[in-house]
Amino acid sequence: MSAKEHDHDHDHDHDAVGENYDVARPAMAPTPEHGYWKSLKELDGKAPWQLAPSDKEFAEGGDEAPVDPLSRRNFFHLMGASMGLAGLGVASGCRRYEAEEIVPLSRRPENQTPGQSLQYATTYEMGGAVHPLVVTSFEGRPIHIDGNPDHPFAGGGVVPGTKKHGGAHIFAQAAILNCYDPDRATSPLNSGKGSSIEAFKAGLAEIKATLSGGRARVLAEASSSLTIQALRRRLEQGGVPWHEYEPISWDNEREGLRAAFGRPLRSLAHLDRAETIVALDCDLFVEHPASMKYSRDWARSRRKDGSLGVGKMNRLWAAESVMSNTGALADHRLPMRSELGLPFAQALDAAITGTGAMPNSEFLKEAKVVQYVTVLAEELKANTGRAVVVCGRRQPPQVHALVAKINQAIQAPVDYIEDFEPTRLHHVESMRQLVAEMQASRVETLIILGGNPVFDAPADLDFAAALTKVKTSIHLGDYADETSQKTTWHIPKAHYLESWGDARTPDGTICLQQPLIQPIHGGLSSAELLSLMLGDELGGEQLVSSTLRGLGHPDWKRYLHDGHIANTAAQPATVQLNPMSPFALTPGQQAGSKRGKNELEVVFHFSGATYDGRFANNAWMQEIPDFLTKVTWDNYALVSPETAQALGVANNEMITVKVGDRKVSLPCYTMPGQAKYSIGLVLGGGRTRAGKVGGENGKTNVGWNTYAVRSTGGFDMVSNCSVTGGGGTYELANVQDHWNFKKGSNKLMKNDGPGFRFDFEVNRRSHELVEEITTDELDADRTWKAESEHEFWDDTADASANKQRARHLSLFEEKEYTGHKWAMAIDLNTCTGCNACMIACQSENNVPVVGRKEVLNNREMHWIRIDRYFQGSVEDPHVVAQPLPCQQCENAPCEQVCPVGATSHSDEGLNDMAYNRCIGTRYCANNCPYRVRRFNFLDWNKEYRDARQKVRQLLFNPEVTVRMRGVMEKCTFCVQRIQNGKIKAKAEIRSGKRSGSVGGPLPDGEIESACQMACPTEAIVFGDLSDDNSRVAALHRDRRSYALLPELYTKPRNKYLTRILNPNPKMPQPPKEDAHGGGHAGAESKGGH
Amino acid sequence: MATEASFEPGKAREHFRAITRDVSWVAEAPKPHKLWLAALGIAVLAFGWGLVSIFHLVTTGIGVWGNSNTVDWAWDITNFVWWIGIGHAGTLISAVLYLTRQHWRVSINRAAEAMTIFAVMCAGLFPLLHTGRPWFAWWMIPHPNDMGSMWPQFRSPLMWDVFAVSTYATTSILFWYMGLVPDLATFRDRCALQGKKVRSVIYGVLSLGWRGSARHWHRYERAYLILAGLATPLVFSVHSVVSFDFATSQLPGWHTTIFPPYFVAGAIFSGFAMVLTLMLPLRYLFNLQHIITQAHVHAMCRIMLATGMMVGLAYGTEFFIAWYSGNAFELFTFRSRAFGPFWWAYFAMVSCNVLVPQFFWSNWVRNNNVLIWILCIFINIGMWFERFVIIATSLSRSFLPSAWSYYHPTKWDVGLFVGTIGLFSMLFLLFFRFVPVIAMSEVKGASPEAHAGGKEGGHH
Repeated sequence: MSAKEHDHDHDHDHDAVGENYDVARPAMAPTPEHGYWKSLKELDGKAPWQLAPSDKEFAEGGDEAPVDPLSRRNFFHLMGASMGLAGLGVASGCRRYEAEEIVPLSRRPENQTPGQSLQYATTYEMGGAVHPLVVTSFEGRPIHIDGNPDHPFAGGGVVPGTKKHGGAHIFAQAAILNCYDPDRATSPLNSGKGSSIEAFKAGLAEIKATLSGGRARVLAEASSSLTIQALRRRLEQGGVPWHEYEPISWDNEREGLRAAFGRPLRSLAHLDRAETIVALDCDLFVEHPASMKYSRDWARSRRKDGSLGVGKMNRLWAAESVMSNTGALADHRLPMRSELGLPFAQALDAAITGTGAMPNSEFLKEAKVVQYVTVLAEELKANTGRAVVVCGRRQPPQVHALVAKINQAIQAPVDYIEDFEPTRLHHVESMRQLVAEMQASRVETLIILGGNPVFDAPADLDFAAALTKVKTSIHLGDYADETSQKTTWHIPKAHYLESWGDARTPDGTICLQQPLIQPIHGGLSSAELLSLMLGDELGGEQLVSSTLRGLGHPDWKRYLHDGHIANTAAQPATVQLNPMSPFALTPGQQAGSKRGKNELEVVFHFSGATYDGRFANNAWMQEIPDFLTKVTWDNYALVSPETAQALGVANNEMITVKVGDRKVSLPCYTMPGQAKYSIGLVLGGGRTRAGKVGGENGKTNVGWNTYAVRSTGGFDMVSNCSVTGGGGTYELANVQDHWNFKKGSNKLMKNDGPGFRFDFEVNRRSHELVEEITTDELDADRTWKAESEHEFWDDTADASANKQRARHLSLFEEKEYTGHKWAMAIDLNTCTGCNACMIACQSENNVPVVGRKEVLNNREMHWIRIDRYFQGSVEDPHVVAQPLPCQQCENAPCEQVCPVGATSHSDEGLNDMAYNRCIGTRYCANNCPYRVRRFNFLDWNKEYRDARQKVRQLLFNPEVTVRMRGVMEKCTFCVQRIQNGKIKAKAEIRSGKRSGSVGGPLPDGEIESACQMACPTEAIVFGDLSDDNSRVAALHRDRRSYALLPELYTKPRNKYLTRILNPNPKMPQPPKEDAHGGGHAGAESKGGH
Repeated sequence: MATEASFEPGKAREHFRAITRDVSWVAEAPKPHKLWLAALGIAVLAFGWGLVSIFHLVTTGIGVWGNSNTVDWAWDITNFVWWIGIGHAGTLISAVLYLTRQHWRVSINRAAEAMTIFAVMCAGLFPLLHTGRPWFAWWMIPHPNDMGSMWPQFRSPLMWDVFAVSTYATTSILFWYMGLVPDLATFRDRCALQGKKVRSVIYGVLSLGWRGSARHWHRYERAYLILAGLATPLVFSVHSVVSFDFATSQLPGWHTTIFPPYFVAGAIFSGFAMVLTLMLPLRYLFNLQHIITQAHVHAMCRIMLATGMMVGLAYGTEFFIAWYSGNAFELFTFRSRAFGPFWWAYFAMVSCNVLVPQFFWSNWVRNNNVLIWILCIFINIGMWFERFVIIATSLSRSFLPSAWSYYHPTKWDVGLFVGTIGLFSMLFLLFFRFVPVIAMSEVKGASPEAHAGGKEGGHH
């Protein structure tokens, strides 16, 4: 965080930096008028610096023209260009202040050291979720995103007494790739044709004239910004109604709490204070707007395993249709159609409060459900004050109201926060009213701030048709997307790393958003566009700072530094429960688990990759494997294996899902654990104007548009749908289970070939690879120790005895480590499978993306992956998962077999990889038992040489080599961070800034790997084993720690900590390893199931 | 003695002359056989396809093949081991059988040695081309440099391969060439007599001034013996070292001590199969049945029967040990090998390598050259599958089920393999046309006429 001390006096410091960096360029660019020339191109007046500024995105960049890569002249041309780019970042960051003077950089700007990165606090708001961040900036270009550890809501860390920790949400991290996306909108469009901001401003008077008398409307994305709110008030006062719409909306909760408490509220559970957590059709860890806080709080109470000696470990219950990360982690999960949420909540309410009537639903009479509800209700009552129910966004307001009632009854640790905008309508209702007005031609001007309603508005409203009745429509969007094609004007929106703003975390804390770079493609923020419409034409910084000053927050520099304003969290509201009348049940809710073929339920599920479709052009996200399905690059329909059989459809078969009279065809993914007769449609696929990656020019590249069957009547879930198969086969690019499903069958494969079952073997190995123990077993056996290499050597024995022992085990002399011993520990107990580590690694280490075809060829490049195995029955599986980076073996099998010594061991125990030396025999990969090595089978970075794509090179981390084809690569424990940490410590010791010896131990936590920093639950801990007091050393000593495949005597430097399960003794127990069964089909091993 | 200049009178002389004539005719016939031309044409085409495949591979990357992050080696190393195995019969015939005084070897050793050299050339292509950056493959060769870390890493079996294969190639070439010298001198003299000046000069240079003097013969015999002594261990070392690529790894299915003898037996097995595959049609084509007699075919069939059963025994032993070791990973790998996704490859291997040689028990089969040729083709296929099964099945089902996968070759995998077959065939066909295909001098030495009074057992 060194650079966080950086003084953010932007007006001046920044200005100065800008001038000084900018100026070097004209000086380097003499023209023939000077009497000499350096190239023929220059003589012709065609050198980059001679072109008109409007032709160039960058003053000096290498992106001007497509170049012939083979020409020698162009090679030197490019060399020059890349030198230009090196200075570009800082320069462009300051280009909002025109550089006019030519002076050398005689004094180094404060806190700026060329070649050293800086970190700035900022904020990202997406779909109503606010992520306070720290952005690493290298010479003026943002290259990496982390969570803000100092933020009161989103930071702070999990383990008390250690360094503060932030954790970064996968979407916030991945959005940095969009910043450098060459497909982003570069100039305004007028009726789909290229235009300019000047042209827009020229016609602005006419548009402004309509901003009164109810002739104009604003359609905005969800925003918690105070600045936007202030501008909104001004517009509303002028008679411009404001509509808000998000395709993935938490407004059901708002309405439910309105029903329960009389006014719209947002709930904020304190999972760290809960011993029983119930997630009702709710993903706490990825989808929830407070997911980062929830992950951290859950992990806090999940760690109370007795070894830390604080309280009891929590128990997680989940009832849901589509299996979520939360369901996968739950101690008890009930697969349940989403529509059954209402009877489920009613039953729970009846059992707890005794006030509601037991609903008449067949579902609640099923033995499994009876047991689940009874035991859960008992436990909730027993844990009054220490139990909480969290309800998901899909559930209708009635269920949210019931959950609020239950939480009141059990005195759950839930805060209710006043809504930032209490008068606004439910997103769907708001959109419905807006479209009705548009259809009635009452809207002359429509300002669309972000979002992509033509693509994601409810299909029955036909937003695109309504848009034709609007005289002037203005779409502010970062891409010229589906909506931009239909509006009168499209204005490029500045990326969040390019613009000023503010936001409020769910607790009300005000966060600052500051730009890290000058808008690469130009563009305005929402506030700037509104300001333009209102006639102020104020800049973003002025807008935000004046808003805050107006609210009595004058310490601008402090806020910029911190990224938030301290002590602005709202007080929880005092609430009074309204009496509730009983809710009537639909036929679907009265039915049991089994439904007819035409009575299927369809639920709409967010995509862990593209969210609602907005990340469709983000190749990192398209290639991130879903935690549970492990599918990349496409969306699909989730169908339970039993249901698929009943419907006669198979895995990877193209199916047609009929919802009302709307249909969509997409591939079927048979998902163990998916609720029976409930079809999960993943949103976000089928974009036609996302860009090169996600689909452009009206053609889809990735997935299928499931919004086509989403209407206002069935926005979150809809009953009485049907499915027909027979559409042929489409192979989904799955990174893990290439072998898992038999072709053309919905059954998990038991047989690998003609004659023998391998599911036993997978089951056996999964139990060995991912060790688990229940709290009861742990309590009963105080001497229990995770299986490990302790069979082979003994950490507690004296060194000579171990050496003696080792001599019998290894042909080679065991290496002795005298200095640092870098190591990692991964706590399987708190890994939520949120994929944040994978994207963090991808961003930090310039990990390439390979595309769907190459994923199918099994050539994905992720350095850290999350292995996932199912145990127990197919209908209600137990899920185990394991993040897997390079294990950094002390006896690394890969090192021995490299003929050229390209991979070798460092004195600090790292398994280093010298890319320059690698000739690509791939022998190391074959000999790696953990299969973590990744080979560059093709030139994955080829496209970066394309002139248009070259802007993406700006995102590369300059500390990490970009690997060429033909070399092997792998996780290095972020060796560049280790070296930087060591260098920094050395410099500080030498200059007397800190005590200690050069090369001596570093303070624990000073060096953190990218995956560790991103992990919201601190499940990944990196550190120095030679320091007995380090956390990693403590975790390695923990009795839960074990090495993967210890019998190979690889002595991994990464250890796993056994996952602890906390089942209720009255419920079915987790599956045990069973030599004779308990494979995928071994329902009997699930006990009572 | 080696030429017409021999003064030995009578029948023996006629016999020797006949041998010389019959062997030289292969090279001296004014027009090549039409079938030979056709075969050469096909071989050149196949080699051309191989060159295209190599060009595409080197310019695009290993990704043009079917290899993946799970199955990192597949056809590349399969082909390498297969070709190296084929190259085994040559040295075995020339060195081991020489030392053990198996005189029947003389009619086939020349061609077998040539086959060895060409097979090793084909084999050598794969370790080079299978690297991601073949232009840096020279880093595997120890070379003095001022960057200390540029030294090869000698713990790697791939380094051992480099030395084993290059030593084998060198020794084989020396051995082959040494044996050729007297016969090249025969060609030289015959060309000179026929007035073919260019040819006579070329053969003259190649025959290194051989005159056939007693001193020449004495030194020749000594050198031959020494080289045979040096080459004999190589027969066993090369494939043992190649097997170390697998045996020293930790992968279940690779990590087995049985590999060295098993690989050597398999190599000899496949080597003889390839000798017969080539010699049966060629001896017919060039009328050499009286030199490469049915007795020779019989002997080779018996060797294949023996080595085939050794290979079969190894297959059984592997399974037994997988079970007996109690190692669950090992047992799974072998079960998966036989009954898993590559079961078809495993059954191709077992039926070709264990069942097919059983036919050689029958005298009738050993006299039926067409059938032998077909069976030998099957053995060649089976031995290719043996290497494929070892490599691909083990890699596709390694320790972590999350990494399990399958392997499909691409047209470029096939292209390079077919290309090497083309290269091999092309070289072998050219060899038949321009080099003495049978060691004339040795055949003469081993024939009864060479021994005074026709006594058996004497040597020269």
